[in-house]
Amino acid sequence: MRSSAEPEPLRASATATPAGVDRGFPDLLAFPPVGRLLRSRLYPLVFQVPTFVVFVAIILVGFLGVDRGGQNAATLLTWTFWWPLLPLALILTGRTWCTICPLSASVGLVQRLVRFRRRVPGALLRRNGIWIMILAFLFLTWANRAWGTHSSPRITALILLILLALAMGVALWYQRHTFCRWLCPIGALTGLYATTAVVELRARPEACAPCRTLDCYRGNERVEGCPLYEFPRSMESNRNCNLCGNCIKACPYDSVQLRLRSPGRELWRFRRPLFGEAFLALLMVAVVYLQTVDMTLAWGGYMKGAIENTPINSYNVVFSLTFVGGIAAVLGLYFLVSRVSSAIGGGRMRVNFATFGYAYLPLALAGHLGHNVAHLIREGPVAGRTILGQMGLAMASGGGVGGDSALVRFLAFGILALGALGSWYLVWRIGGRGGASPRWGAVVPHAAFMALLTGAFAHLFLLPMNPLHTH
Amino acid sequence: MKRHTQAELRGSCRGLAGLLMVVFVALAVAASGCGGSVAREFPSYVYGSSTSLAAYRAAVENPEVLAAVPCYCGCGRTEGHGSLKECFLRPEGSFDEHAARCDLCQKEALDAVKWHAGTGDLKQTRALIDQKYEGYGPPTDTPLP
Repeated sequence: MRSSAEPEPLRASATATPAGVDRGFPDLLAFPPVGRLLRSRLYPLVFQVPTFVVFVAIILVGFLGVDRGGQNAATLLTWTFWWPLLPLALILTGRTWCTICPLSASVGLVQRLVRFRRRVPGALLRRNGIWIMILAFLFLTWANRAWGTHSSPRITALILLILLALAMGVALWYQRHTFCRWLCPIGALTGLYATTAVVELRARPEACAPCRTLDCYRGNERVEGCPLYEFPRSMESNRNCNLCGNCIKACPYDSVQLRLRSPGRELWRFRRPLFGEAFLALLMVAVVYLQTVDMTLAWGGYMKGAIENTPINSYNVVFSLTFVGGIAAVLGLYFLVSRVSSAIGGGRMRVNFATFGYAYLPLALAGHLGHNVAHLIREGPVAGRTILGQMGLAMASGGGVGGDSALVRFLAFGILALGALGSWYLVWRIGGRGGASPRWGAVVPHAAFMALLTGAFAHLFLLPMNPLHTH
Repeated sequence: MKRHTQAELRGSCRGLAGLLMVVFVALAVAASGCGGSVAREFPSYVYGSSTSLAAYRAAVENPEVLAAVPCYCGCGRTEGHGSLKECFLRPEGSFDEHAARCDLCQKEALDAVKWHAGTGDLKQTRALIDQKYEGYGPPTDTPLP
């Protein structure tokens, strides 16, 4: 089942032995249920089929059902359940969502049904894919507020349909899962969040030593190679591993292992930190903050002041300027912090920017989870009843938004505290890795900025928040 | 590592430039969208979303249209409203917060004003609203125009 065209040759660096493989935890593949599942020919198809069916149903219900966010399963399933639970899934299982994702399933479907010689993604796409994904993600985030995506079943369905068409179109043109790797609006985000996961899939260098066929990358007669163009032998990050199991099935030397690990263990071990990913980590801090603040009751007061006291009469223009300004402020402050950190601790500012950016990831994740835990707890039960009611499975649907405020606050602040501690720990480890002298010189500016961001999130979580939908 | 970071930075600058271009285009698109012509003070709860602001502006500009159509969000039973207008404006003229928290009231108001601008006839506007929203919930007890 090799790809119809020869895959691009690997660069020499790709064949190097990955650094810091954690042998402390056992191989989960040795656990029969896990090993049987990931080695099964039915995996991941057995999960992709139901998610694809649900995805198509969501699109249909979004277009044809009640045009009200709080009463349509499309918006409820997508924004009340999937979006809040996605980061949790990424922390627990790495980028596994990308394997069972309906868009990934559609790519596989197209490439099975339509067999002809496809292109290998060129250098331009490979180099700039992360920026395409960041732009697409920013656009969808902006549209969420400007167009009210989360409360509009029609717009939600339209966006999902467009993404499906794009994924299938790219699958016709390019080999493997090029869309997932370089074009999906949440591809960069899921890859980045997956670097904090408590599991990792890595190869054993000693087992790989005699291998000359590189089946894990190229595939063989039994199974295709890595859909995301990763090379497991030298893989040092979860960012492009969706745990599809192809390499496990393809490897003739049984080299690939799945292990538990300390969360985010790879973040201070990167040999090649990427500027784009560091940029995205800080961008996520800003986006999560903005997406939270515009749901607070205080947001109305801010917009009232901005619209009534300036010549700008358009809500969307004021929002857009705030959106861009907020992102620019966080990134600009981070730029300054990197300058100070590199000036005191030594080293180039550009390297400091790229390396320390990963340390902010736990904080971004905590903000994302902390915000959404409120929606999940307060609105999840009524959203669930509404969905079941529309399926004819519940006697009573709808009802008011509820949930214990004390519980929500406890969870939100607890998650935030964990995120802050994780970020401080990471900045300390990264500071030590780079040989900064003095170490505190490189670390303290970032730690102080993290404290400021943590305080900003904490203040935000104290403010009363509007629900996602009215029910 | 220095060579990799410099090359990535060049690409990153291009990426940032592209990002700024898209942002400016988005701003232009947003600016060409719902601008609103009424310069008026509203309570801060009106500014929760662009749809909320647009709906309240429409209500203030077209109170007679909203008074002629029922609201289908169920507020007739829960709030005692007599028409869609009361979701936005109380009988004595002050603003009501209800519509700011209800996307259905906002959608209905914008539809009613849009269709009335097209038909110029309250009866036709009422018929169109009833046709679209009758499945959403119990209507307010609003007399036919």
